[in-house]
Amino acid sequence: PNPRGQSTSTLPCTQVRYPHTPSHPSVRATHVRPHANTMSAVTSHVTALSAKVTLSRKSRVQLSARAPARAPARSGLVCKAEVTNGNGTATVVTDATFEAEVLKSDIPVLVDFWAPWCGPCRMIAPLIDQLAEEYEGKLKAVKLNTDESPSVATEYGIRSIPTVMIFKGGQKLDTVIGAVPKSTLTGTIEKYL
Amino acid sequence: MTSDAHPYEYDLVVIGGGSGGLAAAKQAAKLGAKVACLDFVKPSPRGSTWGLGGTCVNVGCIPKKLMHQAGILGESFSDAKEYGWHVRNDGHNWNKMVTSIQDHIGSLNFGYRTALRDNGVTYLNAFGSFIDAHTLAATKKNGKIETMTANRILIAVGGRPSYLDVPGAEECCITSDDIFSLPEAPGRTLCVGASYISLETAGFLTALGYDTTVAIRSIPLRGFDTEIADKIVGYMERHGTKFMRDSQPCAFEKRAGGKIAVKVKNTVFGNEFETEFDTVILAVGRHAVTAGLNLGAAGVRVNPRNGKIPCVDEVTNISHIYAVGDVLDMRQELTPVAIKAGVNLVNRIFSGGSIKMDYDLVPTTVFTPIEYGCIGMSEELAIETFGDENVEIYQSYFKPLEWAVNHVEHDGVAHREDNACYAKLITNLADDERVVGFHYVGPNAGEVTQGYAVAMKMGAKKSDFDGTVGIHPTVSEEFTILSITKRSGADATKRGC
Repeated sequence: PNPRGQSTSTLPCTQVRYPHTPSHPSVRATHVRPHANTMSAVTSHVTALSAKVTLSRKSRVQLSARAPARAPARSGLVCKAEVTNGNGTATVVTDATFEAEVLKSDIPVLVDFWAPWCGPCRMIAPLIDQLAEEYEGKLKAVKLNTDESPSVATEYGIRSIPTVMIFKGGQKLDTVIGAVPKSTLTGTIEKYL
Repeated sequence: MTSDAHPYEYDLVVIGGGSGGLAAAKQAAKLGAKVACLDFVKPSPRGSTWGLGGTCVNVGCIPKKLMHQAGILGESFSDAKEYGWHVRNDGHNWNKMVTSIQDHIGSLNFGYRTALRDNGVTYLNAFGSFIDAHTLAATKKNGKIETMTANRILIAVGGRPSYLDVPGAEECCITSDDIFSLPEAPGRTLCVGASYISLETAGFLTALGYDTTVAIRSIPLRGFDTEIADKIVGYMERHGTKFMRDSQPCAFEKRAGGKIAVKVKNTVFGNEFETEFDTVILAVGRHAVTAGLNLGAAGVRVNPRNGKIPCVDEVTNISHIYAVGDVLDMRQELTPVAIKAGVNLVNRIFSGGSIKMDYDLVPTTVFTPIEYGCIGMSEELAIETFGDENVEIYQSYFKPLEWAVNHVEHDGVAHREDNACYAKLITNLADDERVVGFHYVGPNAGEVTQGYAVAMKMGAKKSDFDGTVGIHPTVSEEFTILSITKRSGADATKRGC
């Protein structure tokens, strides 16, 4: 990890201890790294499945059906379970719901394009959840699994992940590629609020 | 581009998104053809499936080399200590390795999908089969069928592991389709087969600390140089892999606690005995995935013994239907062969190219614990082809300098044996000592062997090797100073300090 806390567009997976394979995109169990730097701002919390996200259950079943190929590490996981109130968690969007949730949204939307096998994606996942909570009402933060929703990923020409896009009024206004620090994301978001 | 006007939707449809199929599809699209690529993985009996990229990327070369590397790293702790490092080996975490490897494979799958898209190739995750010589059915996972027509069709469906036709094989055993994504550590493992797949797998499992046994029916590494095959097995045996020779499993049965009881028949004495394992990996051969393609509807001829497709210059008996890769009869089952053959073929079809695939002098490497790189003829083949009196065999035993500081022994066997590595050069005395066979046993065999393939393709002779100055200190330089011949009877081993 870069000690100066500056952004690198893609972090080599070997340098980052990222959470093991999640069983659900909204559930992140994160390691507390002993030398957490300003860049990662990784907090340790387990986001509860929000009841309103019925689609996420389907994604979870699909993901767990593939779990044998992506076995989680058995090493002891240090995490502080903290149940959130279900609001402000990044919503899961798919090919089917993208138009309604993102393009037709009244407020700007931040879309996190990710995939289960991508280490840097897993690294910024908690940041997206935090942004969903912090900007609730002003900006929606959503996640799209490119393996499961290849149509939207193709439509927006996603070539490497993680890619974060800002949508407003149905238009893509900005793109940020790579596992960037939270400050980069907030800086980008503020431009469109 | 050679534009032949035709009434079909696509200029080319490629069935199979593996090494050969993807390379051909991308190249054809680059040359202006309208291309579609169909890729579909039927789950293994154990349920394993994977994404775009074919065998090599998902359940072959790539994960194999990574697990092999994991094993090598384990073996290097001993060296590190001798070099002064304070190293503590707390054992190996199977799941962590599988996760890391599967993550990388996922990024490769993604990369291939993106590459197809960038090149304008239509990709369908669907099982392709023939309706007639120009019409294909693309069947998706949900059963939905889409038909498509093509002026030309390339069959690149590859192969899958074969199962033994004995009771309990499919229920109890796994194959290379499954080992690289196995969610639980394999434990006490039996590898059935004498193929490179079986030996490579047994090799890294042993290095990772698992109690591993190989059951061999007759000879190891059939088709490779016999002397070297024996050296590889000997090395593996001395370094912890158990071998059951003349052994043929004849039944498998699940026992309590998830164990597998294996009934084994000794092919020499005829007696049967039973042993128990946690995991049984079958590596007894692979077959072409042509069943289900409905090749008869297009009139494409298939070799009934192995399901492979015989071709001349990658063209089947039907002039607009082609084949590349593992599905091709009588050709090496190697990724670079499939890629090069596919690209050359597409160049010939779509841009008037004339280069044909040269299947001679194809270098290859077996990634067993002691690796083996080879180019050209085995000793037996050279003698059979040119006659014993015309074949000169140079040889040398050695070990890499880097091994010199480690004198640690396990059970009386040096971890880094003095004469573990071996170089053999086979020349044809009747042709100015042209080098017809190159064999290297030792670390980094792939890297060592690659460059020599260029030399041999250019017709290098022993005098060319001798006239080349070696790079010191390396293992590869041994090939520039080979002087001891088998004929002389001199001892080619290194002694002592």
